[in-house]
Parts: sequence; C-alpha cells; structure tokens
Amino acid sequence: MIRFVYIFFICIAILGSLSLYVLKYDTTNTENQITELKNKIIDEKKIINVLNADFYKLTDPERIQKLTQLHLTLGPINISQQKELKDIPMKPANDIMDDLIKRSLVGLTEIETRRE
Amino acid sequence: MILDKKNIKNQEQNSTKNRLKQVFVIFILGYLVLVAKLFDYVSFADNSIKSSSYVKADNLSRPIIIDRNGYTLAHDIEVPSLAVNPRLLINIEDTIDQLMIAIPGGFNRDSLRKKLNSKASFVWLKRGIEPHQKAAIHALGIPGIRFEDETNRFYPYSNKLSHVIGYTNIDNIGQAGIERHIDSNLLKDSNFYQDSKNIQLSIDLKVTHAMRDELKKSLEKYKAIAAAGILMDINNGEVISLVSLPDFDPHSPETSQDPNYLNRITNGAYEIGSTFKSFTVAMALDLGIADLDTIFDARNPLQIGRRTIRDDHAQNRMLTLTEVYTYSSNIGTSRMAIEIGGDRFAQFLKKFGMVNRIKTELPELSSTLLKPKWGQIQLATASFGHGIAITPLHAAAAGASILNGGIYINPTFLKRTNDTNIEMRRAVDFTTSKKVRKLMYLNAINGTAKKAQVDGYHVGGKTGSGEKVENGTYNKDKLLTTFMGAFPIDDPKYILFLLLDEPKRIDETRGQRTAGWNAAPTFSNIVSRIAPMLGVKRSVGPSMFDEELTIASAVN
Repeated sequence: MIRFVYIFFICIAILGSLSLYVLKYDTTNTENQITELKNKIIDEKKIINVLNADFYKLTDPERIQKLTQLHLTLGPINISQQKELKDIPMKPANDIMDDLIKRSLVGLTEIETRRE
Repeated sequence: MILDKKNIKNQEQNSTKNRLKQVFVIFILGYLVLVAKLFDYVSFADNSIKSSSYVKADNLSRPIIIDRNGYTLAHDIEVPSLAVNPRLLINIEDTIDQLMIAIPGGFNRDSLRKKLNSKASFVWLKRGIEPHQKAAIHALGIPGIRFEDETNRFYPYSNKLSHVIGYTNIDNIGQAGIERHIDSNLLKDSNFYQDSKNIQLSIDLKVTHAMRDELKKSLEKYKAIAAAGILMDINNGEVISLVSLPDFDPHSPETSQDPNYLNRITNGAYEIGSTFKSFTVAMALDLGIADLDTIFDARNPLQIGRRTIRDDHAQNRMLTLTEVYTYSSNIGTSRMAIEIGGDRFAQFLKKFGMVNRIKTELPELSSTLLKPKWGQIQLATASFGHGIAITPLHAAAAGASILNGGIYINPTFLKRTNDTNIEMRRAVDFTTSKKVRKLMYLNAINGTAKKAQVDGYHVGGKTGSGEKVENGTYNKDKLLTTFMGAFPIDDPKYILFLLLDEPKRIDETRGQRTAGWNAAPTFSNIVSRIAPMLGVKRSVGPSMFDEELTIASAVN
C-alpha cells in the first residue's frame, strides 16, 4: 500500500519539477527576448531622435528662407493675394444650365452604351 | 518470562510501526508542501522568476518642448563623451599624441597631460564628441579609454527661441527660461508625467522667425545695439512670439550672462516714453474726466515747480484729446495726469498690473520702477512715460487690456486650452477700450505713427522715444524708441510691442532717430509679414472709425 503511495508521489514530484524547469527556461527566454526588444526600441528611439534633430535643422525656416532666396522666385505671401469667397464671381446661370444638360447627356449615353 | 518477552516484542513492533507511521505522515506533509510550492511556481511563474538580463536606461526622459503648432523646439539626444582610466594607460605621451591627432584642435596638450597623469580611476576628457570622432578614437584601441553616452538637450532652432526656452546645464537640468520652469515647477508635480510628456508653448515658431528676421534687419539698418519685440494674443494673453536681439546659442549659453544679452522683454525695465500716453489717456477716458474732444491747453510749456514740460512737436495752441494723442503732446497728457491725481493714477497702475512683477512661466522677470509718491511733477512726467520704468511685457499685457475691451489677462507662454482657467479682471470700461482703439487708429492715419501703416490692414499704434538713463541722468545721445500697436484695429486680435535700443540717425530717415522713423516702420514690416501667417483677414473697405469720422464731420 505504502509503496504505491510513495511511487505516486515520486512521479508527481518528477513531473512537477520537469514542468517547472521547462517553464522556467521558457520564461527566461521570453524575458530575454523582451529585454532585447526593449533595448532595440530604445536604440531605435535614440537614432530616431538624432535623425529628428537633423530633420528639424534642415527644415529650419531660416534655412528654407535662405534657400528660396537663392534658388526660387517665390516671395512672402502678400495680403493682396488673399481674397474673400464672395469676391470670386459666380458662373453665369446659362453656363450652369448648359453644363448640367451636357453632363446629364453624357450620363445617358454612358448608360446606353453600358446596356448594349 | 516467554510471554513477557513476546509482549515486549509485540510492544516493540507496535512502537516501531507507530514511529514509521509518524515518519510517513511527515514525508507526506513534505511532499504536499513541495506540490503546493510547485503549483505556486506554475501558476505565478512571472512573479517568482526574475530575469537577470539588463534593460538599458531610457535617458531621453526630459519633456519635449513643442510650439503651438507642434514643431519640436527642444528635445533630448544622446551624445558620446570621452573618458579615461589613467591607471590602465601604458604610454601617456603616446596617448596624448594619438588623441591630438584623432580630434584636431580638440585638446590642450598641457591640460590633457595633467588629466592623464592623475591618480583617479575615472577622468572625463571631453564631453559631447561627434559620432565620427568616437569612431576615430575607438579605432586607436587605446586601453583605458572609454565612452559614456550622455543625454544632452538639443535645440534645433538654436538662437531663435533662446530667450523663451532658456537652456540646461551639462547635467541636463534647466537653468533658464521654460527649461528652468520645467524643473522648478512641472517635474515636482507627480501628475505631470501621467498627463503628458510634451510641453506645448504658446509660441509660434514660424511667426517668431519672421519677426526675428525683420527685427534683425531693423537692428542693422538703424545701427541699434538691441531690438526686441513681443506679440501677444489680445484675447487670451498667449505670447505668440518673443524676440530679444542679441540672442545667444542655448548649446553654449555662457554669453547669456553678458548684460547685453538680457531678455529685454521680460527682464528689462525701461522708460518707454510717449507710448505710455496710451495708458494715461485710457485712465482719463475711463474716469470720465475727458472725452475724445475735450480741449487741453497746450499753448505754452507747462511750468511745475522748477521743471518745464515742453512738446517735441509743439503746436502752441489748444488741442483736443485726440490731437494731444496724435501730436504726442507732453503738456496735454501732463495736464490730464494732474487732473487724474496721484491716488487714482496709482490705482490704475495696479489695475494695469504695473505694480508687481508679472506672474508667468519665465523665471527671468523684472519688476517695475515706480515713484513711491505721486506728486504733480512725478504725475506729469509719468504721463508721457518718464520717471516710470516698466518691462515691455508689462506694457504689452496692459496694452492688451485697454484694447481688448478692458479685460486684464495675465500673459502666459504655455498654450491655453479651452479648459484652462484664465486669470482675468476688468481694468477699464468697454467704451474706453473702443475709444483707445480709435485714437490708435487715428494716430496711424495722421499722427506720429504714419509709417506704421500696413497695406491691406487697418492698424493702430503709438510711438515713444525716451532718452536713456545713465548714471542717474538722461543721456541725450542715447535714445530708446518703442512702439505699441495692434491689428486689425477695428477688432484687435494681436498686440505687438517693439523696442529699439539706441537707434542712430541714418540718411534714409533724414537724420531722424525717434520712434516714428524706426520703430513704426519696423512694426509695419513685421505686421505685413506675420498677419497673413496668423490668418488675420485682410481689412476690406474703410475702417469703422473712418465711418464715425465722416459722420462726425457731417454733423459739424
């Protein structure tokens, strides 16, 4: 009787310790992977930061201004270029009607050709 | 005897069995403990097993500073620094030669020798070296040389915003400007990190660039020693742009200690001259002791005690309040101030926030210099901005209060959100504010600020020129010119305060050097450039004040 109980418990102990070690190594591996990835992220972040620094330096308005003055004929926005929406004249009513008719005709022919 | 023996044997057997049972129970209990522990390990594995692997420290922890549109103004980058353990060096002279070649001009031979001969086990050789220099030194393979990555603050727009952002020291701790504000106020707050890691300023990078560019042109054109300007949102107190030339490079801030590199907007108190008349006039209008057409006697210089007050653009006649303002009559405003009286004048100074240092984020703040007692002569001179020194920040905040409808708003350098509690109080009446707008507009149409006019916008403003105080007396050769203006003046959105320190007479201004000839045109240049960027709509047709004018003249 006692022998069976002993064997039973020994088996449980062996199985338990085996699963424990498997689990432990698994966790350690995963943890290592996490650390590795975290470190990679931090490294990437640092590189991104340096690249960002470069980008900001290159897009500095002062630098852009110098470059445009050297190479382009563009100038600062003049206020006379700003217009209200109401300043833009409406299309004459006849034109709008013609346009609509033309479009509807195009639509019809398209439908007809598709049917065929 | 035999029975006895048997009995004893039986007894012995029994007791042995009992003991075995006891041992058996103990073993079972032991196994149970083991099983329980295993179960514990299996189900709570994450907590009980600690990884020995090493996670790098994320040093890029200082908050990023961004402008109102999200452009990064300051952030951390990692830079290698060069250090050495002198005990491990084999040949010091050789090492010196090699290092001198690797970084040309980077070392001083004597100080390098001193460092390498030290007894310490760790000596910094050079902090903040370039990546290619690190590679070059690494390739030398000198034992004892090591690199330490250090976090440094990087300011992509270096000088442009140095007076606002400030700088950090070599240990990345804020020493001036917003950087200092971060360390002394925000980082102490434990909620800060949870909320957000970015700090958004009210500053607009592009507008600041445009303003700085124009101020730089003026600085060179009028050969001034300094030029400064502050642009403020009139309705919520946000500082959109602050420029104070000369400015310094925040990466090597040693120059900022030079008094000439002072932040003239927040940390310099000046006698701003006639620009102050806007405030005097606002007081008189608000108290109801004068209206726009009230007449003041400006026929003769005003004699108070032993002092005589004269006009720069003397008309020698009776002037209406509007004319007092547009001709910038010292006599007129002096009479006004005397009528206001010392007590009420002091009260208004308090309402305009000119009594104390302004409470805002920048640590570099100067207080104002006021007279302890307001007698007649002090009132008279203060009415045109003499004998009273305020910072341009004070002037802009008070100017906003007399132009935005009468509300004094505490200026800020941080972007305000809808739920920010804005500290505000009434300074003057709404009608007063409207009258001051009109006065400023008229001054730009036919007063001293004609050169401040901007194509496409109705603007208004007031000029001011004062002799600088040196060793207790006024120096006639050194002038400080100021300009305070708002746009669009019909319904002001922004106030711009400008200051030129010691502008010189030049040919283009026909030998003039007062504010109307230098500060006013600078205002015009800046506004015509930044107003479209700020999305201010072009002023179409005549100003609302023009219409009032024509109605008034029709009645007369």
